[in-house]
Amino acid sequence: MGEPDRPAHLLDEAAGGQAVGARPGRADGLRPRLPLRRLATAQPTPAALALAAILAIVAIVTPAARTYGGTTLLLASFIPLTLASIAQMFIIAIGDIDLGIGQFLGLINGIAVVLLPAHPALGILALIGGVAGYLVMGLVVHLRKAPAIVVTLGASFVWLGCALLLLPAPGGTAPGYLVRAMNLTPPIVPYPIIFFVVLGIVAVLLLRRWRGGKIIRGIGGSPSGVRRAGISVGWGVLAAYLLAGCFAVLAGLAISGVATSGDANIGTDYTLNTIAAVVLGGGQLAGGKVSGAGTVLGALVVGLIGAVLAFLHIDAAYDFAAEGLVLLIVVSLRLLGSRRAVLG
Amino acid sequence: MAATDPGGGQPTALLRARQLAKAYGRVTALAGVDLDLAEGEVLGLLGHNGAGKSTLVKVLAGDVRPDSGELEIRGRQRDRYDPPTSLREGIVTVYQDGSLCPSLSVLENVELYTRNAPGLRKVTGRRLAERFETVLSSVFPGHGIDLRAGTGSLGPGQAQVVEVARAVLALRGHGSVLVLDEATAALGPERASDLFGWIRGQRGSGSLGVIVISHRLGEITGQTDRTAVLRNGETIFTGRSAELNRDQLVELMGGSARPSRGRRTGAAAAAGGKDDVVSVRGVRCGPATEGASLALRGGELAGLGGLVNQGQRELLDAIFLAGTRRRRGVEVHGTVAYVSGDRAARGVFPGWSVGDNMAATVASTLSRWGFLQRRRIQEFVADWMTRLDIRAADPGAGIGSLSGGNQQKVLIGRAIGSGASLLLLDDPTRGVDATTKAVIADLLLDFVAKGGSCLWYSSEPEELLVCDRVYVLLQGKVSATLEGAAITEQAVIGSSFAA
Repeated sequence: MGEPDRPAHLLDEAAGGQAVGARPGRADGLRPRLPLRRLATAQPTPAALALAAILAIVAIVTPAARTYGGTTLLLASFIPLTLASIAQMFIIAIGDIDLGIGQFLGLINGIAVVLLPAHPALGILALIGGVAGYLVMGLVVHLRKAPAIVVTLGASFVWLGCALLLLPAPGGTAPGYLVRAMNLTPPIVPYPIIFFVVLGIVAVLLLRRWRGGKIIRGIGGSPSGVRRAGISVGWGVLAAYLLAGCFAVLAGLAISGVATSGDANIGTDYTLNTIAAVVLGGGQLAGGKVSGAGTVLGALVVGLIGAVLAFLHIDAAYDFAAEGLVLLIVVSLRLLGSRRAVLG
Repeated sequence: MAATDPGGGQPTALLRARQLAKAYGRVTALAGVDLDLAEGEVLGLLGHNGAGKSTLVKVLAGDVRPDSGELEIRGRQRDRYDPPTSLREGIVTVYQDGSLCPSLSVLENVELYTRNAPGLRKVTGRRLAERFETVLSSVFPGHGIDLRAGTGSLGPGQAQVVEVARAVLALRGHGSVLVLDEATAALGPERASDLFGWIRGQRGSGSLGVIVISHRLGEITGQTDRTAVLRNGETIFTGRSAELNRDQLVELMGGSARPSRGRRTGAAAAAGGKDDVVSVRGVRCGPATEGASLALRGGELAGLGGLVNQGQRELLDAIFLAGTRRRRGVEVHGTVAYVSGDRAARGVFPGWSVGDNMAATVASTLSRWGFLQRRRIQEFVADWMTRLDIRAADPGAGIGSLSGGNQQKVLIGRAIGSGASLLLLDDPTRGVDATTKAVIADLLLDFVAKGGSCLWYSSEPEELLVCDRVYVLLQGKVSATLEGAAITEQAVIGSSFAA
């Protein structure tokens, strides 16, 4: 069927070059905004600044962290958190929230430690089952119009129960290839840094370049707008949950490689941390607005807060308070900034 | 270019609808609508509230499947018809309320939309931006919109400009239909005239059909070739627009010139009270910057009329809020009670019983030391259920067990029983059977006879005939104030539409 000709009347005198009466600019209407202003109002900026501040503190206080080995040691433990935060990001993008991801990581950890070494085929099947579990949650949320909070929270008990079946007590050993994968030593640049950059790029591409990412963000902001464009909201929801499931499984495998052993409760703190990471990175819980790069940066900020407190010899009990404080400050600043934009 | 009769051979019929019918439960939205649209024709669609315009648009867009009737597009019958299919067939609809996703940029919104449009499936990124900019500038020169900007940061007029432009972009080469469902109101006068100018420019090529729904009669008579008038879900008239005038159209839409029954004599009305119970000056409830102004005295029954979504609800909300805290431009003396016609969302407490719903406003006055006095509440509820004639129901049953009409009676009883001196009603008779409508009207008349005041919005002009005074709202300002014998359906409908 070939592309029908664009009606000639639509490509009349206006198409010649400059549109009549339009402000001077490029023919495609994408007016370049001042680079500095774009940078200042970009979503990931607050997280990036917070991260820079934290890294500066760490570098000053602990010279050992400035070495290749020190950096790797410090940052490698955050790889699972960044992966899990990206999973959470897709759920928040669609306008939902995942309260079960922490427990899900424990389940994947159990599969990695108990099934993968002895029965690899069964283990892989179980991992696929994990992703399918996320799809099922997505179906329940969309088809039954059930609130995601309830569905994911309920699922968290299912994940925990299954994890405990596999690992009644902490123990076991993660497969060698997982451990090695978490301990690569590329030349010059520490492995975690390369990982975070690649992950950030992948997340940004999925959200901004891939059509599905636009649909997901559209649904988060206005499901009716997406429907009016003739697109099925259901497929978008399922795509978001599918992506979240995949990244959550990867996070579970990563955590197994980092911890090298298994514990059903290994991911307990992760749920709230991933939410904090997404919000710090510029995401809004109402849905629609999330940032791929921001989420990775936010996860690093969340992870490093604990490290900073340790380096400053502050009691670890203040970890949560410090994290909450940073979150409050960043979100308040962002609210102030956006209100000024609305009023001004 | 004169429109020729469809079915006469030339030009081809783009759309042909026969006897489309659609009912939602007991409510009939479409009762047998016929529609014809020829190539190169601009058709105006007119009708007052509840005439069936929105449902017809949804049927054409594939959002709603009619219960019966035929729909032919370019001569072929369509059975499996959903929004993506309608877009592929070249039927493109622009709505009046936002269809853009606020979390996406302008360009991203366009990309989402054009994926289903014929020929644009593979066009993305820079090429799509160029095409869209071309269309934007040819329909709305000097638009000043940055395609990378977030949609949430666009002004209201600009958002509608984007919606119209992306619809135009999605039109097929030949035989497309552009449906503008009250789309011109949000554009503003300048941009609306840009759009109509562009539509006029399309007539030369003769392949685009346009359906225009508007509350501006001038747009209908001046910019369209033919006009179809809907009433009560049926097409009751089609004719050449150039031969129609405003009065004819108003009469066709259901306006009878029969005056009101003259509710009360002037003396009785004046005895109700000399001071204003509520006074509203220049309160913004819509696009019009001068806002709405009105005043009510004790013992007066005032009506609000006009097409839906012209600011009636916003005005009632503003007055209600002014009852409890200071608001500029609104002065309220005495207590206010609000009765919403949107029973499910703003009226009943769905988890409670009938009795609890009824007594919600007086429960605190009927309590002692913070504990509810069950017996006193039961007496209150029993008394009101008799007065409202809901005898058959058990007060302990869930409120959901009552019919819509009975639920509305409960809400009114609750409001009057609270002892308020001013009653605000937001279209309470929507979806309510005729007998109950009469009961509700009597309740309100009784209320004002005892000295209370009432501001009553009804989307059906016929109901407002019992009022002392009717304010007709249009785009957030009062377009007409009708008093006494001047209150007729025709007058209300006539002032519901702009010139």
